[in-house]
Order: sequence, then structure tokens, then C-alpha cells
Amino acid sequence: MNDGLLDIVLQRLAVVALPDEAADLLLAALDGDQALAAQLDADAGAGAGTGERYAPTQSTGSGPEPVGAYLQSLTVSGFRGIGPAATLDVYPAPGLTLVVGRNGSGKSSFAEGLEVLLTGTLMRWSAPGTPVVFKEGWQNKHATGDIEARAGFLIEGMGKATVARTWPGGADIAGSSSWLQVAGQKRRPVDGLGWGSALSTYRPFLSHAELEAFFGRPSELHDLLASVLGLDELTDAAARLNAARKQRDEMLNDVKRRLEPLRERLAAVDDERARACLAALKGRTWDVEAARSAAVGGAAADSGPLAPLRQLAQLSRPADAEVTSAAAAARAAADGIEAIAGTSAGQARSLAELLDAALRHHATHGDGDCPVCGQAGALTTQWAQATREHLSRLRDEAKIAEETARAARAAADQALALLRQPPPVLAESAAGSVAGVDVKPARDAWRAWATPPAGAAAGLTSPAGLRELAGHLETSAIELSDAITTVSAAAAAELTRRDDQWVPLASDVASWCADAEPAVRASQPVKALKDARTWLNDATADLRNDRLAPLADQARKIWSRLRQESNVDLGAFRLSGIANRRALELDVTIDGTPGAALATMSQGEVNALALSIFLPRATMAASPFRFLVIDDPVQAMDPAKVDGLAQVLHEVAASRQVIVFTHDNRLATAVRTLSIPATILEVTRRPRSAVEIRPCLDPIRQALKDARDLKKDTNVPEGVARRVVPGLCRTAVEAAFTQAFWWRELSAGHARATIEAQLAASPHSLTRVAALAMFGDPDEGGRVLPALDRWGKVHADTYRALNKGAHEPYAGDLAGLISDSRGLAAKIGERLP
Amino acid sequence: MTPEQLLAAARELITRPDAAIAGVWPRTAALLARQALEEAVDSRWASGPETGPMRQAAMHSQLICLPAYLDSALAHQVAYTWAALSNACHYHPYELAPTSGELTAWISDVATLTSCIQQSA
Repeated sequence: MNDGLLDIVLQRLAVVALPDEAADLLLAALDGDQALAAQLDADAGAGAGTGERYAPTQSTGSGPEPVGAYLQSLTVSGFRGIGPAATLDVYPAPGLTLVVGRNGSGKSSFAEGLEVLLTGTLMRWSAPGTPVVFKEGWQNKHATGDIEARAGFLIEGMGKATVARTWPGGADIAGSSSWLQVAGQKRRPVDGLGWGSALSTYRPFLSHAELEAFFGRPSELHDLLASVLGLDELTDAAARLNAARKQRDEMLNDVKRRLEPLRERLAAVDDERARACLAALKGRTWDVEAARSAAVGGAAADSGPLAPLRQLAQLSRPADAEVTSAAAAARAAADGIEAIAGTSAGQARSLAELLDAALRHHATHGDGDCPVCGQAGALTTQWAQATREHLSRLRDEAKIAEETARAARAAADQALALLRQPPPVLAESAAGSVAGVDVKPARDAWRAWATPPAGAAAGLTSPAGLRELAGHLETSAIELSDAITTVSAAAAAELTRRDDQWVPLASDVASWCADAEPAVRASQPVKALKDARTWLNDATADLRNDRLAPLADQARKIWSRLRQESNVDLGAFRLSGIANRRALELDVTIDGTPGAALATMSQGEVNALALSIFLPRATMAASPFRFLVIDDPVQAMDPAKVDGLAQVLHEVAASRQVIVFTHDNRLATAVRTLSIPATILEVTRRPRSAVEIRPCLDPIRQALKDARDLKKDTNVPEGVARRVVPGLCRTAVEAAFTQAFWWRELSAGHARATIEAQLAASPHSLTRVAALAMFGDPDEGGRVLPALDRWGKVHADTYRALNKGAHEPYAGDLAGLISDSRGLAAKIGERLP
Repeated sequence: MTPEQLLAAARELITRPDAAIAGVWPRTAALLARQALEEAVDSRWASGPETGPMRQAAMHSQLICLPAYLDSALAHQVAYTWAALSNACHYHPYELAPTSGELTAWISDVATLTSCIQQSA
């Protein structure tokens, strides 16, 4: 941004503090849309306050001085009062030019021709209520061929440039084509001048109609002045901050609007997920993350029936294959026991135990009688030998019985292992139902299954016990399976019912969450954005009035010249308010009493006040227009105010090319009687709209006319005349050289400031001004006389006489000096146009 | 009469409520103020060796010559005030007489100019 403004903002930030985040946004907004967007993104990424401070962009300078343009000629044909082409030539230098002519002479057509040429339209047409007849009558009835307005300008740094706008015959006012041609270059579009916004900001045209409308709407008056104060960058930045804030507010408001119906729907559903969402989204600050995970089924804290229902839906019971194989094993074991019962294999074990005991007895007690049957001498060594062999055989047989018993135990264990207790979801549901699903049959079935048969108490490894166990397994498994299938199906159905209700709601919650998250994030900097904008608005208001002060001072000075005896006092100006309430507050008092002064002012006073405000605005240093066109400012003005106006215009003309169109003789008279140097042109219109322009007076003629008048007045003493007349002649020739210098320098594209400085450095020195005009160098005075000699000896003699006459009374022929001076001035105009 | 006496008379005309001069006083006062200014210019001419006869010259000629004998800004101011007063003391059709405010301002201008001219002599 503009460094000057940036410095002001930074200085003010040091005094009127703003939180870091808001200050950074403010500086970014001053750098443009992209910088603001980037800063907001950076804040969102880094978390406000942790990011680096924003570094404002320094521009490459406070902008070049505006390029000044002077009007040189204006040719209008077929437009309004002008038929065949008529040309208004004006000297492209600071000075006052009056174009006088009767109403209907075509002079306003020149003023409007220039306006329409540069702006493409006429401001007075855009005023509401403009009669159609004005808009339609813009083409001259006597025009033949195309309608054209063409102006020649001398522009600093560019030199001579021509701008033209042409309408084919019968075209609409908007149907024009225009071009710009800088001398020696190709034609190009007019915007090559870069005057676009300056034309409205510094508007170098002012007509009576505009003066009257000046106080139309307070907001318009506000804009007229606000636009020249160079604070657009600040107001643009404020608008940017506001737009960013608004967009973020809208995002959040949209999310808020959608939340209320969502809350109602969540409240209407009996579902713990809905309750979890509702809990996360109640109040003003939401836990969007919790709401989302509840919606999409992440880790929700389950306290409701969903978990048991899901468990019920997926209950697992002992597999049929396991049950079948356990039952078969039990039966096989029972069969095995029964098969060896009563067989040798069955007896072998008990006999082996008996014989083993007998052998141990024999080993302890030696040979003896049989302790069982009492047969004497039965236990002998031979007996022992034979019995040992017998015992070994018996033991082989007993092993089979042992294995059968082990198999029976294993079968019983296998069966018992299947008889697990019911899972917690069945065992713990004391109420007997889960979310309307009856779990009692399943629980009972499972408990029955888990209880071993009563008969087995006698001994699970007995064949009878094993058989009973097998039977239990087979019958209970079927009952259990039926009960589990029933309860799982019921739970699954309930789950489905709940999901049917929940899934669409959950997806709505999820999509709301998806929008809410960025909206909440986006709304973080809203307060900072608001703070920054308020700060900027305050700063702009203060700056505006600071910058308005010098303009208001100038306006007051002009007003004091124009008001004459008016009892209306112009005090301070203030630009106040924003948006629709913006207005220019004028501290206008009547006889020291503040009030609705504007309402009680006469039209003449209002015009004068408007002019007081318009002139400083149109002559701001930043305006590229060194010319100023005023159309009929004198209407409704008191005679004393006309004198004041002439004085004011004279002052403005010291640095501006002021062109005034007037139908009123009073301004021309005032200029003449007040001896204000001016060029006066008269416009007349013959039948068929043939407009002619005749020069009446200019500073050269004026000085020479004064000299002649003085010469003719026989009452003026000879000595006085010989002193004064050469001075007047010299003034005329100096004026001619000065004009020539302006033309020479501007045509070469040189800068106005340099031209003015060179002239200011050569006050009252005919030699230096002549050297400037002829050679562009004030120190080349020595070359002036030889050059004039080449133009003609008489010119060199005149120049010498004028230089001499400044120091001593002129001894020669005064009448001759006057006419020679006129000849020299004309020659200068001819040779150095 | 001296310029000071003429100006005092002009001021009196403006402030005195007198039916006899009703309607006439504004232009009369302007005339008196203009005479005061002319007197001051005359006194400037009288003070120089070669300029004495200038008082017989047309006022237009006198005003043209003034810048050669006075500070040029002062001379311009004299010409401006003289033209304004001159305008005011003639009866222009459809133009109204100057107001008391305007006249008072001019009279004080003339008083200032008169003393400046006298000091420069």
C-alpha cells in the first residue's frame, strides 16, 4: 500500500493499540484481498496468536507526481449549438481565459463538448428528472456528416496529444468511438491517458447546473470531497475486513439455523446415540467432534441397550458337532465299561489284586496254608513261582479294564466342559428383557443346559451316568439352540428397527458436523475482524478530517472573497457517518447563529458556497488536470460577488489554466476594471449554427492597450509616459515570451514544476525569459539579440530599447515603441508558437 | 478635504438615520470614499518632481502608471478598490445599491490604502 498511509497507520497503532491478531488482519487487509485471505488462513493453521506477525508490504514509493495536462485547442462540430466545425484555441499555460457570448451563441456547447469528449456523457443528463428533450437535442440540426469533439492537450512527459470522440450521423449519444494520439505515435484508446478515476475525483468541469445541484444529497457531497482525500485504500481495506467478517458470520449463521431442527429430531428419538449427539450440541459452544463420533458410531460410551442387543444378536452356544461328539464319546465309554464287566478281563483285575496280596503274604510269612481256603501247605515256593506267572497274565488283562475306566472319565469331562454357565448378557439381565426383547426363555434354556443331570450324581463314570449325560447333551442342546435362535433374531430385529430410525438422522448429523467444523473454525477471527474494522473506521474518520482541514481552509478563503457582505459564515467542515448516513457537515452560521443556514441562503450564496468547495477540490495537487472549465458561474451572483469571483479566478489562474464560459458581461467587465490579466474570447453564432470565435483581449493586448491609452492622454506628463510606456511594452513582450516558453516546454513533454521553477527564478528579467523561450536556458541571454536580429533588425532594436527602458526613461518615439512591441510580440507568437 | 475627512463624512452617512438622505446615502458614501482614494493618489503625484501634472490625467491613466511609482501589489489593490467604488457610485440599471456592510468594508480598505500611499510618498 501507499507508504505515507502505512506510516500513518503504524504510528496510530502505536498509540491506539489493537490486539495482535486484529492488528495483523488490519495490515493484511490494507495490502489487498489476497493478503487478507492468506493471513486468515495462516491464523487458522497456526492457531491465533502463535503465528508470526504480519509484515506489511512496502510499496516502491508514494507514487509519482500526477502528470499535468493543459488544454490547447478544442474543436467541436455538429454538437448541440455548433454546426460546422468551430475551434477554440487557448494558450496551454496557467492563466485566465474568459469565453463570453450571448445565450445560444454556442459557448456552452464547447464546455459540454469537452466534458462529453473526456467522460462520454454529460453530468447534467444523469441528474434525475432531466427532460428528454435535452437528451435528444444533442445533435446539431445543421450538422453535416459526423459529429465530433476533438481536443489538443499538452501533457507533461508526453508532449502534444490529441483526443477525439466521433459519432456517426444519427447515432445515439452512447454510440461514439474515441481515440488518443500522442504526437508521432499511433492512435490508441483514450484510457492510455490514465484519467479514468481522476475525471470523477477531481472533475475539472463545473457548470451552473452542477453548482445548483451541489447540495442535493448529503451523501453525494460527502463522496465528492471524500474521494479527493486519498483515503480510498483505507476505506477499501475496511470494506475487505467487513466482507470477510460477514462471510464468516453467514457461514456460522447457516450452521446455527440448521442446528435447531436437527436438535428437535434428535430429541424425538429414543436412542442413546441421539442423546450423546444432543449432549454434545447443546448450548452455544458445541463439541462437534463428540457429536460426529456419536453419529458415525465411533467410540460412544454405551450405557443403553445397544450393546446388549448387539451381544444378543450374536450369542454363541456350543457347536452342534461338539455336542454330538461328546454325547457319542459318553455312550462309547459306557459301552466299554459294560463290555468288560463280568468277563475275565473284569475279574482279572480283582484276582490280580488278590494274588498280589497273597504273594506279598507268602513273601513275608513264608510257606504255609492258604489264608483263603485254609488248604494246608498250599503256599509254597513252587506255588509262588506259578502264581507270579499267573499274576503277570492277569495284569495284562486288567490293563484293558483300566483303559476303559479312563475313557469313561474323559468322556464325562468332555461333556461337562460343554455345560458352561450362561453368558453375562443373559445371566445379568435381571428384568428378563433387554429393550423389549424377552431373554428369559434363553436364560432358562441355558441354565437348564448348564445343569448336569441329577442321576449322574451316582457316578458320572458309570455307564448309567454316562448315558444320562449323553441324553442331557442331546436334548438340552436342541432346546438351547431354539431359545438362542429366537432371542438373537428378536435382538437383531430390534437393532434393525433402531438403525432404520437412526441412520438417516446420523447421516444428517454427520453432514452438519462436516459443515459446522469449518464454520466454527472460520468464526474464530470474527471478533478480531470487527475490532480491526472499527479501528480503521475511526482512524479514517480522523484522518479524513485532518486532510479535509487544508481544503476547508482554502474554501473558507474563497468564500470570504465571494461572500462580500453576506452574513453567512463558513466554519469547519466535517465528513461524518458511514454507509447511508455519510454526510458533509458544514458549520455554516448566519450572523453567528448556527442552524439550517443552507436552507436560508439565497441561490447566489449557495452557488458561491458550492464554488468555494469546488475550486479547492478541482485544484488539488494530485489532480492531473491543470485546466479547469467553469460554465456560467456568475448567474444569480451579486455584483460585489462578481468582483470577488474575478479576484478568486485570478488567484487560481496563477497556477492553473482556468477557462470560464459566461454569457454575462459582468465577469469580463470586472476582469477589465480590476486589471486582471486575462484572455477574453467572444463567441458569436451566425445563422445555420456557424459559430465564430474572436479574440477580444489577452495580457499582451491589454498591456499594449494600456500603453496606447496612456500615450493618448495629453494630461499625462511626458516624463511619466516615457517611464511607464516602455514598462507596459516590456510586460507585453515578456508575456509573449512566457507563453512561448510554456508551449515549448510542454510540447517537449517537460514537467510543469520545472517550468514554473525556471520562470520563478527569472523574475522581471526580459533577457532570461527570452533566453528560456528561445533556447530553453535562462543563461543563454547572450544569444537572444543575434537571434532576434536574424528575425529582423527592428525586433532586435525593440528588444534593446525595452531592456534599456527598464532602467531609464525612454528617449525615442513612444508610439513607434508601442507598435514595434506589438510587432515583436506577434513575431514571437509566430516563430515560437 | 483630506482623505481622512472624506472618509469620516462617508462613515457618518452610513450611520446617521436621516430621512432626507434615504435612498441616496449608499451611492453618496461610495462617492466620498472614492474621492478619498483619489485624494491620496493625488498627494502621491504631488510629492514627485515629474508627476505633479498626473492629477489632471484620466483616472485610468493614473491607475496604469501607479505600479511604476508604488509597490505593485499596493497599486493593484488601489485599482481594485477604485474600480469597485466606481461601480458602486454609478446608477446601473437593474443593479442594486451597495449595502452598508459592503460600504463599511470599502471605507476601511480605503483608509488602509490611504495611509500606505502616504507612507510610501
